[in-house]
Amino acid sequence: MANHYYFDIKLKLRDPDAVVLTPALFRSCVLDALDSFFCEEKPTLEIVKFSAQQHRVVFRVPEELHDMTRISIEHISHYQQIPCHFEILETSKSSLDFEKSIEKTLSGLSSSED
Amino acid sequence: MEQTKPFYDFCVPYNKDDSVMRALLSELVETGYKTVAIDQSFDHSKKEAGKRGSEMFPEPHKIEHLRREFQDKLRILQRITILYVDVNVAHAMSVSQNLRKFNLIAGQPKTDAALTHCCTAFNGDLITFDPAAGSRLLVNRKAYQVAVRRGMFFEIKYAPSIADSNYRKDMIKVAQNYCTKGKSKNIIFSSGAAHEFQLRGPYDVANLAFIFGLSEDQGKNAVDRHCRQLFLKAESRRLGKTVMFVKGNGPIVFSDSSEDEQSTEDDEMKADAFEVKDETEHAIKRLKMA
Repeated sequence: MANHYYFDIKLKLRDPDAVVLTPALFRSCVLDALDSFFCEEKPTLEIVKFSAQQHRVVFRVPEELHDMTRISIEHISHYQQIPCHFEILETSKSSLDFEKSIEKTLSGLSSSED
Repeated sequence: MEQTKPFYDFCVPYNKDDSVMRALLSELVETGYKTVAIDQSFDHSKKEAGKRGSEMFPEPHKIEHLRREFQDKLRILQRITILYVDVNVAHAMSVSQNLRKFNLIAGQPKTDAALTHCCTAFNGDLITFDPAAGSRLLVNRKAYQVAVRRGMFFEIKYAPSIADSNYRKDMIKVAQNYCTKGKSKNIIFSSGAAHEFQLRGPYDVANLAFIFGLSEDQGKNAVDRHCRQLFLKAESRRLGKTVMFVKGNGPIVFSDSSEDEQSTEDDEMKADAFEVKDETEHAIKRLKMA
């Protein structure tokens, strides 16, 4: 089985209401960046989790594409002509899930309040 | 010693619009920066020769309200970037009082001669370049080595490379030139971001070392250690020769002496300390007289 790297991304958009956030559009945005920067045509990029409300995405790429993907994401400045910043919150070789991490944070907060 | 905390971004362009500055600074706080410098540009070459008087550099912008607003979160410094074409700038810099009010002075040469001067004789802290001018100016090996020996730092801004792919090519070319000519010594990364969406976190910026020809360590140092060194160098340039008085808080206690001996020694030391203090006061008076 091929090794993968997981990326947990937070989408920061100047005007979130003016864009359509879908997994397909996000995927094509990242693939375009990879293509324009490293000429990597159609590499494997699988979206694991996507939340348009929370502006969060978890996707995975093959291990050998980790560095290139990271650099490409840092250089993305527009999503559908709207200035944006795809903030890389975490990368990991093991599976990531932003919903679980949010739950953990919330449970940590509630225990600290007690 | 002046305290600063990592991470550093020494090029946040000044914007008259406070809301833009606030958004930029808030994003810097959120992404993990602790020390930033607000940059203002000054084009020396546009000044007419006849008008080159004693003071031609502008005063720093008033940013006290921003400092107050972010006082617990960010340390905000002020920087001036001097764009110049000839060595006449050296005289203007030597007589300027306003320049002392800036924490950092950067030089942005416009010609090859100015670039060589910037590396060998410029009385500033940092050498930067104009991304819009492309990779026309490339530093030579000797000038680079002289600059490194003088403690100058070379700046690479990443925001232009995010904004435009043409700038990105030039940026990579300039960075590769630093790599081949001087093994990427004394490089710092800064943003030069016009708005908050062009800012990236310090770890992401350090990761840009991958395309700029720096090693992993050099990439980390470019947003942390080198910036600290640059700040200390700039502070020493601003303060110049400094007289320091070291004053002990209490007597020196020798562990191998008995308590009685210690107490007598303590008394003697207190007396000595008073004498030293008197002498120091006399010395200060003499200095003031001089």
